[in-house]
Amino acid sequence: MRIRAKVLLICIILGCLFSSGCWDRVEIEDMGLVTLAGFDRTEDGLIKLSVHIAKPFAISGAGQDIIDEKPFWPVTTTGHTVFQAVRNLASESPRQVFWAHCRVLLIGERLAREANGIAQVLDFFMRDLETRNNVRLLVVKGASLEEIMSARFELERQPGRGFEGLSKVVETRKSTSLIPTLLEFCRELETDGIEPVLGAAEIVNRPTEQPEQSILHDTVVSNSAQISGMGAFKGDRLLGWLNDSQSRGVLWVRGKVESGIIVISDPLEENRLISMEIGQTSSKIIPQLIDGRPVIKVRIELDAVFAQTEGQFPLLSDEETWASMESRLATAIRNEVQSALNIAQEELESDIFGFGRAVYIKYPREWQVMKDYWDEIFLTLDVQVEVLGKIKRSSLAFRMVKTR
Amino acid sequence: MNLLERGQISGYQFFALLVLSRLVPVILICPTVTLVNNPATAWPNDIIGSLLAVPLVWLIVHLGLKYPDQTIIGYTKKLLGPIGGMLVGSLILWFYFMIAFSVLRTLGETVATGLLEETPILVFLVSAAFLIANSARGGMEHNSRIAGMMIPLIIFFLLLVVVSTYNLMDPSYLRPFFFAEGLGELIWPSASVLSFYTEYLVIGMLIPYLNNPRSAMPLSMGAILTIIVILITHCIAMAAVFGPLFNSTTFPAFALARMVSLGDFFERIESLITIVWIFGAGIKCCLFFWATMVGLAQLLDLKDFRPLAYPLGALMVAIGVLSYESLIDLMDILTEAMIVFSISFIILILSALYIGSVSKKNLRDGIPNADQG
Repeated sequence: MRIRAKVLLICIILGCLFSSGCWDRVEIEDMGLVTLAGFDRTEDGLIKLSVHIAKPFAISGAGQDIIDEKPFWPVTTTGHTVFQAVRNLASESPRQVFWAHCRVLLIGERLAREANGIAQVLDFFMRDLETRNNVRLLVVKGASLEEIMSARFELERQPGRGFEGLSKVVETRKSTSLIPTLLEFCRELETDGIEPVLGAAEIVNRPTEQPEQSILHDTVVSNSAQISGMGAFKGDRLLGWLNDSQSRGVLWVRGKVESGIIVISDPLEENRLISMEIGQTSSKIIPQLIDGRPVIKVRIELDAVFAQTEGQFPLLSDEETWASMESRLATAIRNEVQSALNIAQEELESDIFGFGRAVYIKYPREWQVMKDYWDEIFLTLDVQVEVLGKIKRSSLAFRMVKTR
Repeated sequence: MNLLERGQISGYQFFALLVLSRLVPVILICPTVTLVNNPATAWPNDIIGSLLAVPLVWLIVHLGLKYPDQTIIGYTKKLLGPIGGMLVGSLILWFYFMIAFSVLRTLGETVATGLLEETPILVFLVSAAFLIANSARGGMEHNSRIAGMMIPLIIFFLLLVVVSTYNLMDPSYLRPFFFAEGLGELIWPSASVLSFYTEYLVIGMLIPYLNNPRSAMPLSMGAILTIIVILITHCIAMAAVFGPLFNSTTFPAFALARMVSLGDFFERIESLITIVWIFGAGIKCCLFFWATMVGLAQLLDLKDFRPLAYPLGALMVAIGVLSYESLIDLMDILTEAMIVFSISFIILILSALYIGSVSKKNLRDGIPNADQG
């Protein structure tokens, strides 16, 4: 009896060892890892899916020779629905497609411009078990999906990693675009009184260089991609584009500016320029109801670093110049916000700043009536922008190099 | 009355079992969440529902402490006579059993949706039921020990998930504290929170096996307090991370864990939540399975409860599969019918038992008087 029990136990343990994952077992060798995906609408109304699937044998490990082969396989399918297009990959890919490593999702302009276009893509990604909710979204501007998917980055072998890196760098170093994660975008889509924005990916045509006769170059990198500005939405429908400075104007109000350069002219000599690097920032939307009408006050505070100058004056000269520079800094920022406000109120007619949300948080009772008319209220909304810029440091030098 | 079971549980294990049982609906599917309109006003439901549970649990424990050497089945039979006792006793057992197979089915559906999509659900249900039946057959000590061991780990994992989503939280989603449709918004979610506390009827089965039955009251109240804290923390984190998407996810705790991404290396910690799933739901299912099994043996005056284990286990799988068509069906039942049913059920059972205990006392008091007179 004892021995029989022991044998049984050993059998069960061994059985467990070899049957891990039950029916769901997929060997890593049988998986095709998606590194980049893009969705668009075809001319005949189907959903088009374009993915890059990593080629493991073409990714060189440490210490090995660089393999002269592109390390991904671009493949395109179509389907009536998003998931059908995704599953149609199975008829082309010899390996089971695995989505968890897809970090960037590109949305074609045609799909983004139709109502309920992006929502169906988002639904697939929010629902599926393999996909991650922290995948970043980008909308394609002025290019077809094929063109943007064929973009190559000189610094990254996988374009997916290129877009991911680019998103991070643009957000943290330049703050001229916002590349929300799936969660952030969906959250904003459903929130009352704020309309989403999405970073815009553009094609850059680099001048075709003379191909070097090297084994490393079998093709010439001609197309590359950049992130420039943002697409402005109403619901999930793309309305138009914001350029870099308008985008930063929106981000100032939203409090999402992390860094960047503001160029102002030198108070002492108008045709010389000074560059300020944005440091710590904070912003607050203060709604007020005056006679039942909402009035918005935006207060932006920031620290700047005196980063570069063309001027010759000694930096610690006088307080007046200093104050003048600070007010110029404030004006430059106010202009960015104002240009964003103008385009949002006059052209796009979409509350991408989240003023409605601020009103809701402060006056929830009044908002219940206002929310039905918010689109109209927003068009003529009185927005006062107040910027308080402080120049706190001047980096490692007090004065410029003198030319005799 | 024969207790049948020789096992003893410590106060801490009792506490662990109670906390764990109430946490299971939070970590698997969280029906309360789907009833909430405004995520910013979700957390008061947890407080209201839990506070309403305090008198309920007080009544359950108070009744149990009147007969500290008997299980709820034992004193039901004594208080309500052979026929009434049999009737109410079997209702109580059905309630336990219903919780056991619902939890098993929920766990099965959860694993089938969130972990092993291709594996037939029966494979999981049968192996889990076999394990649970075996564990319960050996007495409740094993299960209680595991519960005592796992509860710190489970709470730690839940809090870890909550803390590591801090970079996704947007505190503005916690405001405004405003009810667009009046305070009536609080009724259903609070009732849903309360409905899961009715499961604490199982305390009636546990009291006689406690080392020190007198400690049951402070321990139960302590368990409610602990749960309030965990529920609120979890609820606020959910609201801040998901905002309006608050009530859109099937498995909120799992969804929250899937969000975690700290510095590109601390991510994909949802496997922690699957550990919590399997241990949490497994222990809870085992507790209620054990209660059904021992209760049934006591109700029918059997000499041993062990032969019941495998048949009841098989029954648990079968009824678990047959009683709900799908996860959506289960969710539907848990958010509507089950709330009304479980709250009215517990009130009926408790009033029947209290009426019985009062009349029995009068009867007992009355007999000597009658003799004297």
